[in-house]
Amino acid sequence: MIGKIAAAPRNAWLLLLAISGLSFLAAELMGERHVAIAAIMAISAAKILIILLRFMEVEQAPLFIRRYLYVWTFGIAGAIFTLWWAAT
Amino acid sequence: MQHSNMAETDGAAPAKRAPAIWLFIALDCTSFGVFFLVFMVQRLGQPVLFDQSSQHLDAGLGFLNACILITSSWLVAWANIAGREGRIDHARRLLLAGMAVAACFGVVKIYEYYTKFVAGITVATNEFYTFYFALTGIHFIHYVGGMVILGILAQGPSRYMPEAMAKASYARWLEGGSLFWHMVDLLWIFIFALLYLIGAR
Repeated sequence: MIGKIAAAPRNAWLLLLAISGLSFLAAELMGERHVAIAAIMAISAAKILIILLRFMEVEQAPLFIRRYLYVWTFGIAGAIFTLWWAAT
Repeated sequence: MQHSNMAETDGAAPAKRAPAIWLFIALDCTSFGVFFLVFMVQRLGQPVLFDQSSQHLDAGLGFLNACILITSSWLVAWANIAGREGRIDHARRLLLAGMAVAACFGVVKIYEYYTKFVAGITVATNEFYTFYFALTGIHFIHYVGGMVILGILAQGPSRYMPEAMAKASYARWLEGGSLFWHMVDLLWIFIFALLYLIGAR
C-alpha cells in the first residue's frame, strides 16, 4: 500500500512530511505512552522504507543488501520498542 | 518510471549498479544500529534520567531538521533522475537547491548545540547527553561529508574526459553520492525518534 501511495518521488516526499508530523504529534499529544512509542517506531520504519524504495531505489541494490536493509529497518525499530517497554 | 529511465540511459543490469556504495551503506547502518541498541540497553538502567534529559531537547527543532533532510533528499533524488537522463544542468541546479535546503539543517544543529552549551549541558553532563552528542556528532560528520560530496557533484562532469565518458561517469558518481545523502536522511529518522521522541512528555 505504501508503495502505491508513494509511487512518485514527489508523492513520497509529501507522504514523508505528513507522517513525520504524525510521529511528532504522537510523541507530544498521545497520552498512552505504549501506543505512542509503538506508533513512533512504526512510522519511523515506514519512513525509512519509503526512502529506501522511492529515493534510494533499493530494488537496484544486490539482493542480500536489500534484504539486510529491510531486516535492519524493522529489526532496529522493533528492538527499540521492545527495550523501551522493558524499561517501563 | 525511475527504472525505465535508468534502462534508457545506460542499460546496465539493475542488480549490478553501485554495489560498493550499497555495501558501505549497509555497514554504516549496522554501526549506527549497534549504537542505537547500546543507547537503549543503557537506558534500561536509568529510564527516568534518560526521559528527563530528553525533555530538555527541543523536539520541534528535531522535527524541523527531519523535514529539512527529507526535502533535501527529495531534491537530490530528483537530481539523480535528471543526471541519468543526461539533463546535467538541471541535475546541478537540483543539487544546489538540495544543498541550500540542507544548509538549514547545519544551522539548526549548531543552534541546538549552542543552546545546550549556554545551558551548561555538555557531553559529560550525564549518560544521555554523552549519547546525544556522540550520536548527533557522528551524524553531523556524515552530514558535512555529504555536503562536500554534493558540492563536488554540483560542479558537473569532469572537463578532462571525453564528453560521453564524462557524462556516464558523472551519472555513476551522482548515483553513489545521492545514495550516501539519502542514508544521512535515513539515519536521522531513527536518531530523531530515539533522542527526541521516545522520552516521556
